[in-house]
Amino acid sequence: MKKIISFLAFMLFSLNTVAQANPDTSLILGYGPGGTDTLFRVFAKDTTEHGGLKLTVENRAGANGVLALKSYLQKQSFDSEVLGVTGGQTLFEAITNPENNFIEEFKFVGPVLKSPLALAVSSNGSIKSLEDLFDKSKPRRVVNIAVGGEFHRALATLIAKHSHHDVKAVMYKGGADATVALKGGHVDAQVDVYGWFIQQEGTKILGVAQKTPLESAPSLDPYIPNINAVNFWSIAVSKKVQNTQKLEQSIRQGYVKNNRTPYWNKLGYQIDDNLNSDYVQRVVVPEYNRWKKILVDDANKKN
Amino acid sequence: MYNYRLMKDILAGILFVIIGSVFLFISTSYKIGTTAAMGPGYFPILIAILLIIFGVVIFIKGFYGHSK
Amino acid sequence: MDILNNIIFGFSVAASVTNLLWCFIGVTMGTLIGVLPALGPLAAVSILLPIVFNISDPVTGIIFLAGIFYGTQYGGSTTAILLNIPGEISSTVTTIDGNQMARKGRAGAALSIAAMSSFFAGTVATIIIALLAQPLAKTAYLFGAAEYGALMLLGLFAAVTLNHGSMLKGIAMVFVGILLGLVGSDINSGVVRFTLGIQQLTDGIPFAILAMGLFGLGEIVYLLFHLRENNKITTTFSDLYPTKKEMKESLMPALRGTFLGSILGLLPGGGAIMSSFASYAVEKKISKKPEEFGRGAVAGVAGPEAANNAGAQTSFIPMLSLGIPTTPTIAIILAVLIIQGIQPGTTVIAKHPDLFWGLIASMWIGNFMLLLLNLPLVGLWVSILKISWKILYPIIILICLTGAYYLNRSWSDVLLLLPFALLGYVFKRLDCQPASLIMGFVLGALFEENVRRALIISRGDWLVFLTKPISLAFIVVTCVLLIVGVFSRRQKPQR
Repeated sequence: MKKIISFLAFMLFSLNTVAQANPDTSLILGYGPGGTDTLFRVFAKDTTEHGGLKLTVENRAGANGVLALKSYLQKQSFDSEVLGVTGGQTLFEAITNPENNFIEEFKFVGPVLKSPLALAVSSNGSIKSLEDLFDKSKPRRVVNIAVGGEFHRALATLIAKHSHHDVKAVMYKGGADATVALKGGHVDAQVDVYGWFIQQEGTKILGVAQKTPLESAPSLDPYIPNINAVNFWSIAVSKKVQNTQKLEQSIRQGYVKNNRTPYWNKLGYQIDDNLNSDYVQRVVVPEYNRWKKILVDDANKKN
Repeated sequence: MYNYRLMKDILAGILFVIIGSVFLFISTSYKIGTTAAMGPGYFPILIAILLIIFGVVIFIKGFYGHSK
Repeated sequence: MDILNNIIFGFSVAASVTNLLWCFIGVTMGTLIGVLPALGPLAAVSILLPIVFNISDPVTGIIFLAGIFYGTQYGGSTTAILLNIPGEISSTVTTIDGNQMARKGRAGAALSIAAMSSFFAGTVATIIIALLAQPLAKTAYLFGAAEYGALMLLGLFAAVTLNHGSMLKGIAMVFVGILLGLVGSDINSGVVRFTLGIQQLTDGIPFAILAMGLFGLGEIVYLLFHLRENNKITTTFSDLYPTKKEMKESLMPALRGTFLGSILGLLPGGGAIMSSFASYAVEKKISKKPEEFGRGAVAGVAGPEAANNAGAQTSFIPMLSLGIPTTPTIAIILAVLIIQGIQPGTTVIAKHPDLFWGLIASMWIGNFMLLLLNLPLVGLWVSILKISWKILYPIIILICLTGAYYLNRSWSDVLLLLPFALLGYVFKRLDCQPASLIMGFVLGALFEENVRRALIISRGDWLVFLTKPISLAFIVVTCVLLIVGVFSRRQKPQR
């Protein structure tokens, strides 16, 4: 009898540990750990340390972020004590997808991080420059571009359109997997965000997908006219949450106090901390919509 | 009349055929594509067919009462 | 010798009071959470992560996290052996022979062997990491889609050997597993397959749900339907620890398992998981008494347990030396390092030697702590089996349901348990082994993904699997196994 009780007590204790770990506020991300998830872990840490709000990250990968958003919205209706927020690139994807109608349900509370898409190769790969890819005088060859997501695939498809080589996008589950393939020489190039490649040794950025070139990275514009493919990341909450002031303040305080701007810049991301929650919805989302349309439509036109 | 142990094989065979058929049926609504660009339906159809074949073999074995 | 100096340095770092304390807390918490079905290393690390940020020293932080990680491997084998429920994927194989040993009254022995094999593997893996971290890490790059595809093929074929009943049924179960594994989003086309419109399935059937349903609940449903008085798992408590013979039998498998685990742990895609399955298949093939497998073969516990622990530890190598996370759990640990300003990669050993060598030394210390923790606990665990099934089974059901809920905080996951419990019951009645199904489930989707990817890259040329050396090697091994398998069946010896 004693053993039964101790066993039960032990199980309850373990479950309690699990339950205890549920924070006051959780940041739900629409993708798995690693890669972009790291950015938000930094935010969560800063907000917890310096912002006065205990914030932890939960991964709820799937369906290009839709699963996370849906589970978050559902939670709101079950559990009003838990204030959830959600962030990331997938947020923009899911929100701007007309099928979802999420735009009506969310308001933005966090700063905006941005980084353009970029094309990179391995330092010891066979493709050394943009000319290798786009110069029509070069002999036709097979080119495989690794991509970690639908979005990146769109740029790769666009590149395929403008290059005379036999270019195909090869899908991987995220940037990390794609980079392994790149460094191993199994693919010839990779598309991901500029910030990603800055942190990867052994890769060389051939070009960024925006009109203005960046430090150490030329623009893809001469070869793909008017290209503009910038990734945005931000944090949003359900509109049902009444008072977001404290939340916004905490997030802002967190990263400002920790002087994160140079940190982000060094990593290849620009930060726009206009925390007027209207701003993102008014300015950023429409812009995102616009270039996404151009990028994806253009890429799909040939198909 | 049939050995109880073999009845298990018969039923298992039927079960496999059923599972395989369900997947096969659903798979046909997906694009099959080519080898160089396999569609979502290619692989599942292949495996489902294999499963059905094995299901039938197991069923037959159970039916004719060969030892395991 | 330079390595020796480094190791001594590492121990000096790891043996600080703070680091020892956090190592202990980490392994203990890891074990506790690992014992709970459905909550494995990923859940444990995610849950305990907030604590890490309160620890100022990154070395201590990673020692803590690593402790949690391999701690859960120890805990997971406990439920696998006692309750036939794999807490996480890498414990699946332990359920096969481990639980059988428990049913024969050798629960204590099984638990002890699991702990000791794991410790052995942990020790050896630590040495391997110390010696070969950098050169070993580069092997991850050698594996492209074709190589993975061939490896998966070998794995799928090996999965068939996991069946201790009819070979045909085993193969069919693998196929069922593959089909179930294909449920969800197709990475190459984005099309969502076989979900019947259920949004929660868009990312596939969660492994934990499948495992708990098929193994745990299915088992219980079966037992509930076939209530007999002697349903209680009888245990002779006099033999809490393994006999000399059992110890001897576990040595070589543990050795081989360690070797396999150390190599496979380096590969992206769940090294610990593949290691345990591979080890089981190898042990069964090599064994002089293969018919014991599935009925409580010691090698079937010692090998895989060693393999998964070795795999878990060596999976740190690509992360530390190259910055490549091989599993989601490792990715979280990587993120933690990055947040604390440490960029894993080729320079990390030079720039942060205390981190690298301290971690290595603490891995050994942690394994030792776990051994000390688990062996005496064997008595406690085994006495759980003494509990009348009338109380135990409802508790197990409750634990499964709770674990399923806490996985993703979703009720639909819990509901999903039911069809699998039913399926598990049916399979059990028809003498079909769920272990092969699980292997098909885990490998199937990966197999398809890699074969398709290889064919996209080669523009449809199937020969690519034969022209790449590593891929060719795996295919040759598969063929050899196939031929050997067919021939040995032809000449089935009378036993």
